[in-house]
Amino acid sequence: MNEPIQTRREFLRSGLLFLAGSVTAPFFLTRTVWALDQKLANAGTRSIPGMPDDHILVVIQLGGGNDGLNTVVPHAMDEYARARTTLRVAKDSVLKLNDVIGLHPNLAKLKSLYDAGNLAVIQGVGYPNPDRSHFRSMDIWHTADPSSRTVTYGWLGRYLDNACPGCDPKSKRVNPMAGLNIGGWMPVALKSERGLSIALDNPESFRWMPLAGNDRDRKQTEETFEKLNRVVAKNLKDPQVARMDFLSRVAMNAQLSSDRVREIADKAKGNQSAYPTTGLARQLQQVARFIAGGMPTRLYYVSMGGFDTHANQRGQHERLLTEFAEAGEAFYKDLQGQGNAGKVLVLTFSEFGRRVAENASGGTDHGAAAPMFVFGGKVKGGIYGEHPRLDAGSLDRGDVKFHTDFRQVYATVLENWLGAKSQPILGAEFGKLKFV
Amino acid sequence: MGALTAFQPSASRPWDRRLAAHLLNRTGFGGLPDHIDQAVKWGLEPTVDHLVDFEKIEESFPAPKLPDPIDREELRTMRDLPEQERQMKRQELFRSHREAIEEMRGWWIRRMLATKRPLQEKLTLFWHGHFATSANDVKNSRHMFFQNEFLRKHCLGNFRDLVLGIARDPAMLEYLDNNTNRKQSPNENFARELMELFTMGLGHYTEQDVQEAARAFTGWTFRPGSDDFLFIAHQHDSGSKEFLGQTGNFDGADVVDIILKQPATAEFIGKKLFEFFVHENPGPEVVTEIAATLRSHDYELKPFLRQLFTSRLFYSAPAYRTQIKSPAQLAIGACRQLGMKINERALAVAMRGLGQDLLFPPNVKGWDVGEAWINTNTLLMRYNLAGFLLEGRLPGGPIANKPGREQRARRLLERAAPVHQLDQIVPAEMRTEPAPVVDLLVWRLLQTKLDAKAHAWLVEQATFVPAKERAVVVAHLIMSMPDYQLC
Repeated sequence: MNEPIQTRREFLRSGLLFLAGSVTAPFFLTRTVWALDQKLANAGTRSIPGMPDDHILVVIQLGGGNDGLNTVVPHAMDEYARARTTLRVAKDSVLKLNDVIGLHPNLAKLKSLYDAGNLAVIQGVGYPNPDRSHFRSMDIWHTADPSSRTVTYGWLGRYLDNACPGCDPKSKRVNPMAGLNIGGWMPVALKSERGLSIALDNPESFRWMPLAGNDRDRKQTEETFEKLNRVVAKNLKDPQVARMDFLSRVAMNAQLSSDRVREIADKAKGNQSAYPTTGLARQLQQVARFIAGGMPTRLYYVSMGGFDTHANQRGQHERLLTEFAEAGEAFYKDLQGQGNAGKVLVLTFSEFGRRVAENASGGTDHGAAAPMFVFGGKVKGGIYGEHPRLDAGSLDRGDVKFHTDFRQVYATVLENWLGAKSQPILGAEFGKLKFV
Repeated sequence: MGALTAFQPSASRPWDRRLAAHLLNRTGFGGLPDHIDQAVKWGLEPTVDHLVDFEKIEESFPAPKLPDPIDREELRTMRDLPEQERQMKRQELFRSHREAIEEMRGWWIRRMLATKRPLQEKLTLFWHGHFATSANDVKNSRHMFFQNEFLRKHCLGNFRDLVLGIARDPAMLEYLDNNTNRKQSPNENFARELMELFTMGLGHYTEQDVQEAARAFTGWTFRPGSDDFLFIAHQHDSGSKEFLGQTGNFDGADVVDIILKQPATAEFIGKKLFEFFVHENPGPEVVTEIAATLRSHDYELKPFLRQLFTSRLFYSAPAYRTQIKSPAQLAIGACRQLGMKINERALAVAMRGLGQDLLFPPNVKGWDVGEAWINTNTLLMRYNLAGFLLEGRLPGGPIANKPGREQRARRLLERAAPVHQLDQIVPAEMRTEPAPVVDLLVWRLLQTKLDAKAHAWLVEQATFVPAKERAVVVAHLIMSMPDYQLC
């Protein structure tokens, strides 16, 4: 068949879309950050009001409770060797950072970042009265609130609400993509009262799907979408009109983000740095593309799971650490190649560490404090804090005690990297660290 | 005063199809045109009676298949197995319960779709969100099922029975750790949520009250493997407690009674029911009136809700079409409107994508409702639900690269094979002209009038498609509008 349009059905539907009428862009653009300043729209990552220039935060979540002791290994502590009869990392294979601690050998790729002075190891991080439930503890890290169980918005979402890049809190104009989760769900950490984050599985699924045959012409599809979702709000005091106006705004934000995301993803497709084929690497590669493409996004969130190693931990944990280290290093190298390494700070965390003593199944049970990693071109590499003591008297119900509150790490990132006051976001002042 | 006074139909606000549709939306998952016409014919009060006196309507749904309970003998045998076999046995049990949870989710959806007692399922969903318990933590599918049945049985009964029953419910006992609440080491989790989320709300009790209430619930547990509540006397703290200003040798039931006497409780639960059925943010005078009404009915829910459903406020402008549909409301309603045949497990997965995973509420607070349902991602997914139901189409690339859980979900959706009945709903002779198709579907899907411009635009679109496809195209367009998100 030589006809450009294959079927009558498709022709008619395309006709439908074509005749749907063109939409006047200024209408919906007036409600977005890009309309504020066309230069801003084109500047991509470069200048967002209220933000330090260029600064991007990437959070890597290690779900399930990563075994901190077999990540940053206290090779010189006898208690470690005694508690980990089968699971201990052999002293001579540890990648030593100093006389006490070293990295697990499968973290070799991260060791190179450490050696270059770009990776900080923060030891003994946790919070008071540690909760050993995955769900609850994860929630605590996401909301930065160990006491309440009803906090709706996350610490990053509250940051966006407070210091929203490119928007005036009183205005309805927002940058709907200030935060971005890779994956179709919205992590609590990024949830913001004003809807300033988006979640997407991949750029191709983050869009409105027309009926079969209509996805050939993106522009026409978009016009139909706008036509359907355009609400000319008249009387916002009318509760029904107010709801429609809200939905219409979210729809327009979705539309713009969807366009923007796919545009940038297309543009950056040429970027072919070598990444492993793992899940985390795939997510970080996506982030690197978005950064290269100049997405107006300041916070990225990626995650990997599987760290809940109650049984037969050794092989599993080794694989996980390899995936983590290889993906992290590939991402960093990609950013270096782009010239963006200095613009990005990567923060990694897990909801808790694991019990000091291994269990009878060759695994470890839920624990408490654990180390965190921070890396990036402007990170002051090194070791922050002592390794917590492991003698029986120093443990909390068999678990590592924290000496650094995770909210100190958050406060440091908020103040020294994202340029925001941390007190309104975290609810109190927390002593900052010096890794950035 | 007067918010709960009876609605009097008038010439300007008659008991018509629009208001009947509103009643059926809020008290169930939406009425089909025949139901709405029936309600108009019956009149307001007989319709409400029909809804709340649902036990008169015959209905039976065979229970989903569940794993057997484990008796003490079996538990003992299991404990004596060698480590590796025990692990395997545990894995096997875990898998069978996970499978049962998925089956049960499909079962509940099937029930919501087909029920002749819509208010019963709507209320069961309300209480599931209120006494939120997640199968993420409660791995025993039997416990999750019995809790669901308990909520269904008491959904329109007395609030006291609900609270007391939930305090003795194995799923809740496990979810909020009351099974480890013992005299020697009290666990405050349940006592705290009982007051904060189930009855009074923050600010009406002290930390001391939490500790004292926790003592009253010590020894309330269940036997591992079994389905029944168990009181272990020697783990119960029978000493004197001081709770909300009263002193006595209280147990859990006494604590519940003291809580129900607090003015805050009737206000808290009355307001929550009002917001679920009528509208958000009622003013303080309305809340006071609701609470007084609930107390005057001694926490009996049926007369209270009957009064609510016939009240002036229920049919007022702040209530009419101002609610953002929950994912359940949207998905169940759409399937009913389109006469869908669909794999219910797949529909559960679709609902999860929209932010409401039945049996897996995000935390003990339940789901955040209203505008919280909507973000850029969930709104696009809502619109894509229409394409999924009408053509089985979903955006997104190959499933190969996704993590395991997402891959399974995607596969379920791709194999869901949804079939709609638009061909029967919009008869062929009607499809020859565009306008009647639009009129019929706007009424069926939105139960209101579209504004004139939007309506004209839809008719224009319908003109450009062949008669055969008109219904699908128009339904898809309507379901991709903000209007369709409201009820």
